[in-house]
Amino acid sequence: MIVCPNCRQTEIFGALFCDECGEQLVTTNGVQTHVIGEGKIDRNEQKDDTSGQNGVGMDDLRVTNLALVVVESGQIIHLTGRMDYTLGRAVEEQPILPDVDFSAFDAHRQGVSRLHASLKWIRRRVYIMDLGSSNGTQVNGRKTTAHVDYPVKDGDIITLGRLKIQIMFQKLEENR
Amino acid sequence: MISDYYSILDLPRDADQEEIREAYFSAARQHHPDVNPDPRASERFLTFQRAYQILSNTESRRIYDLSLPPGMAVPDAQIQIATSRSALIRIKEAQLIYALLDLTPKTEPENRKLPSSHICLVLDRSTSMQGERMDMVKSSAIRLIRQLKPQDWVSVVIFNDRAEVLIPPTQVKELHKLDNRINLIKTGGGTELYHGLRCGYDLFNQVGGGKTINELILLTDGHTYGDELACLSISEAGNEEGVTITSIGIGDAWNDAFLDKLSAKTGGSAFFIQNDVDLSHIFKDKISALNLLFAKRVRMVGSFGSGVELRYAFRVQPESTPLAVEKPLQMGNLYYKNRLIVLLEFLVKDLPEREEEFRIFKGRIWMDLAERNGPASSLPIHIQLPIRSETDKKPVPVQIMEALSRLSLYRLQEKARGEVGEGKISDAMRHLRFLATHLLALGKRELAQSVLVEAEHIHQSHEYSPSGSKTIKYGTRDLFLPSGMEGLK
Repeated sequence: MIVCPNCRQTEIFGALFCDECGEQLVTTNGVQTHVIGEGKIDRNEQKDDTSGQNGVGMDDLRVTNLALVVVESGQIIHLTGRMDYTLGRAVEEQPILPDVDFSAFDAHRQGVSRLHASLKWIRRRVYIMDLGSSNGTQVNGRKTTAHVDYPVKDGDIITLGRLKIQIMFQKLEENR
Repeated sequence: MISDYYSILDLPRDADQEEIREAYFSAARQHHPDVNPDPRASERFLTFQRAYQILSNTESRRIYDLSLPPGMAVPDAQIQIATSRSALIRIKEAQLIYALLDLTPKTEPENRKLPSSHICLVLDRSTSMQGERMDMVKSSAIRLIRQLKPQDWVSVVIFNDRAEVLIPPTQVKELHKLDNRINLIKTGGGTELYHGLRCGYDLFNQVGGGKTINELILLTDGHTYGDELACLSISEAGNEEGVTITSIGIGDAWNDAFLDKLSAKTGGSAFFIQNDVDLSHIFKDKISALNLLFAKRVRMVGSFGSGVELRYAFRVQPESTPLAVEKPLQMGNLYYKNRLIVLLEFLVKDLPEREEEFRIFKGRIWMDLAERNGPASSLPIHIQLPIRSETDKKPVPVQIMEALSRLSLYRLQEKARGEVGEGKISDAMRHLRFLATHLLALGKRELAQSVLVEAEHIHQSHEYSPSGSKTIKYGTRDLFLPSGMEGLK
């Protein structure tokens, strides 16, 4: 049995793509990720460090960290340690708080919703998804449809409502 | 005239003893005098016996082989097989394994006599075809005929509730002004595909002496009612006789699932067109392909290992389309300067305990060579893998990853389509959204947008928009075209 890293659907061993969401289930060096077989769970995902041919669109980066740059002020928000982040505006007494809170950046006036969008890491690709916000999310000026994962690359500008942030990938090659 | 002992028993020249024995016993069973009272049967039975006597003995077979003219019983083509993994895993549960078959002719098409084709156009002239649609078909049909060679044959059938032969099988050099009849076609009536197909199919054995490459091109814009099974049996009969059916659907109202099936049985495929340019394009490609035909009716026959099921088969190129999982597996045609690439998905349910190797499939790939008109020739195919206790670290061959990544998108839209049909709207929308994400990652922005627009439409009205399902289906299918593929060369 294999578990899809994206949607958690179980697939037959040997499947290369998830039947449910189309996500690739093997790393480029052929190692099966998230195998559940006879009681074992193998979290090989983090060890994927080979180059190239991982579909279209990503450079060969050993990326482990993301940073969001608020365009207007130039301030940088570092994102580490998680595979997904919700972006939005924290409001007092709300049960659910976003992982990245833009209140300090005039989020309310800029039309950022409380739970505006999510940023997700799947294998070596990053996706933004609008969570049904009031003012929408744009990628490089283009409107996105809610509840759909849009791939983003290094340097893309994500606009939450009217708040522009730039996403930066940080290479950690010589960081040991 | 005696044909050789091999073709009498339907055997390739390099048949092994097992095959020879099986072929003989099966033929003997049918023709044994005790079983079959027909006097000709006992004569044939004696011939089978003689054939078996000669071929089953190594020495007599060797002498016999020397006496035969050099045969092309092994076609001048090569096959390469890649599997997703280099070994099967010893687990108690089922596992999937993918095989990519890549066939290519070994020779160049120089200095050869171009084979003649017989193209039969079966044209829908029901009421819905009136106006621009029919005009487009008329001009494209005439242009198609102009691209044929003088020795090619052409025939035209028009149909609505019934069918009639507009142009009987005529060689292009004898056509003179006969093709003008096409301009006079009038529209009207309903749509019954069966009559058109039957009429067209019957024309093939009237001319050509069995030596032409036979193509039936069906053009329709609508649904046929109640005669689908009859149409499919024509398709099967056509396949036996070497007639390939290409279906072309115009507009939104035709049944693509049905036409896909109809064509796939003969190794052909269906196309979706929305305008004149598409149609001319298809015709042009078809003609140039026919002139480069190396072998027709490439098909795979054989036996699966125990507990093995062929779950899915898909032709990656040329003319990517799902294949009908039937025995034999019809794979389509093989062209010079091109490859026939097919992806197979095998489900291995359980593995025998004490074995080190497991046979997934063993059989032959048969094909009818375009240049000879004798018996079909074949290549052996054997997919067998070792069984290991650990997964191997070898990467999945890039051609398989590429092909499967496109295929998984095609299947996502298939899934969504089924779900809309069953009223599972939120499931369909979810799958369409996943599809859109992948299309965006591939840079197919326009198609991704169509998918999202369609998802919204489905949300509102619980069904696909008229052209939506077809646009998405054929759009994802087209991802297999060279412009959509990179690792596969």
